[in-house]
Amino acid sequence: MSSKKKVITLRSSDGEIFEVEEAVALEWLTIKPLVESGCTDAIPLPQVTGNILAKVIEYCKKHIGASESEDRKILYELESWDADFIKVDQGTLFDLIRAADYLTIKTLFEFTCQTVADTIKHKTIEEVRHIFRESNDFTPEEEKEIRGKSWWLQGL
Amino acid sequence: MHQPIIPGLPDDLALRCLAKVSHGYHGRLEAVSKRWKEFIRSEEFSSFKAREGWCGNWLFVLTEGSDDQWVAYDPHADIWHPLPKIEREQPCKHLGFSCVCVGNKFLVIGGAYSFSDPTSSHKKPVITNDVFQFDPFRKVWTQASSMMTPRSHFACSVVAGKVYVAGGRNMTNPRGLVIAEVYDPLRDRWEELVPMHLPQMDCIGLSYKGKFHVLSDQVGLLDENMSQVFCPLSGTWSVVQDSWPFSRAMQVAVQVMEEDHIYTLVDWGESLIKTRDSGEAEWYNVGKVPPVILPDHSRPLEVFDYGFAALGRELYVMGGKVLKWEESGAGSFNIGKLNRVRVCDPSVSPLKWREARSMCLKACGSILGCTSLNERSIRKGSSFSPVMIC
Repeated sequence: MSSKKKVITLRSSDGEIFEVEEAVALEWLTIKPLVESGCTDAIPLPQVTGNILAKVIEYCKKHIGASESEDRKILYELESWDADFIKVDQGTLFDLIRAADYLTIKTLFEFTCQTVADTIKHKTIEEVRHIFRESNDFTPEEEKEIRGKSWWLQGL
Repeated sequence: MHQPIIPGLPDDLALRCLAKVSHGYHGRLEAVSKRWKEFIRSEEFSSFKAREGWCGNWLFVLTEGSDDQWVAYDPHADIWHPLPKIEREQPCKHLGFSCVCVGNKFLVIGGAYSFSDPTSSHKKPVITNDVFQFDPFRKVWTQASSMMTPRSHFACSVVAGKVYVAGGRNMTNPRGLVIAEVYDPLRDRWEELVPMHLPQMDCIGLSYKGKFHVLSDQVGLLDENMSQVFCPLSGTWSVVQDSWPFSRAMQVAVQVMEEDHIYTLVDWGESLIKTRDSGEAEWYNVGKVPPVILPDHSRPLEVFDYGFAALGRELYVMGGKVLKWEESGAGSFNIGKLNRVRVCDPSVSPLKWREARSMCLKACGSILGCTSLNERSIRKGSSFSPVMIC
């Protein structure tokens, strides 16, 4: 028996080839049956581009085994690694969400969705409108009523 | 043409992202646009959150200053916001009720309505068996099945996913009730339990080690006090002699945190937090609730009538009152009502207090009721729930 870890080959929508350890690929529920069936061909992922797939693999390699750790130091380090990892533009963040959803990678999916949710923190209503390209369609009277509700503005 | 909720994301993924925004920020989301407001208030949004069990963590507080208007705290956002008002036939003050959280619902049970309106047909307080429930997903109040017996100032707590109530008083039993009932939130049904051995009129309910404890109002006056304990497994009451050091003047005096850690407040002079080791009779000091320093007053002031609630691993002290000596003229005592909120982790010694955001609107002064809702404990199906009595 070879002690070498089994490697799975993936092909992105733009034809880039990636190799990941089987243990990482098994976390991706969409392709898990293919991996388990012992497929040796490159698995085509027509909905994920190469640069996004590279990010997804980077995240999953870092997280495999570490997320379940109970060592506070490891978890703390992982958290700060995550914070750096997710410093991406909105387009990339949305692509990561789509990829995590398509590949059914629970940890990455939850993390990226939470990142979108967290962008609301400490933002004014105007800033939220700008970030999510949502236009203000309230009448001046409705707008005035909103402004009167001071608790909406706590934490700014 | 369909416009996506968030440009660049399919709506099902946008829903998931926005559903992760905790309730303290919902007001801000609703202020973005009419479309977002509709979306945040939609059945689709609330039922998705309900399915996922994403209710978030909440503190619910009713104060004397806020005119029958509950306020809620989101610890994740450090934001207070008002709940919708409970619909009443006429404006009233609600006192002597109990409030608990069970199965993703916040329940306000029984109590007395007092009417200050001179034209009201009710001159005396009305003791009720009403139960109102607040749904943290839909953010609406609905009426649940009423208790069989109207009661105020009774014991109430959640044990293993059911609400137990016992004792208290009403018009026909002004000197105390022996009747006890249990509420099953899944079936929305009350059932009578075997009565207690002795009537109890002002009492505190407590969920501790899988049993429902009814603590006597004589607590603090005697060294040894009697409490009645209901065991849901055997369906019987027993009388236990035990010492409880809390003072009966407190509205909320005992909190049980995860793993049956129990904390009580003793406010003879200064406010002390005490705890005991599991099964041991001896109580020892954890620390004190520090006095407050007000900008217009030189000396630190002891706070009384504040709320006490456990949320996660922390204890919250909310609102309350202080007695201020005013030098002007002949000098006089004035009561100051506080809206501030202080938090500590009772497992850290000595206690380190931090100031959380002050309550919103007019919420201040004596706390009439408070309790917490913890998302994780619900998911685990744990029976843990903080306890309070009004």
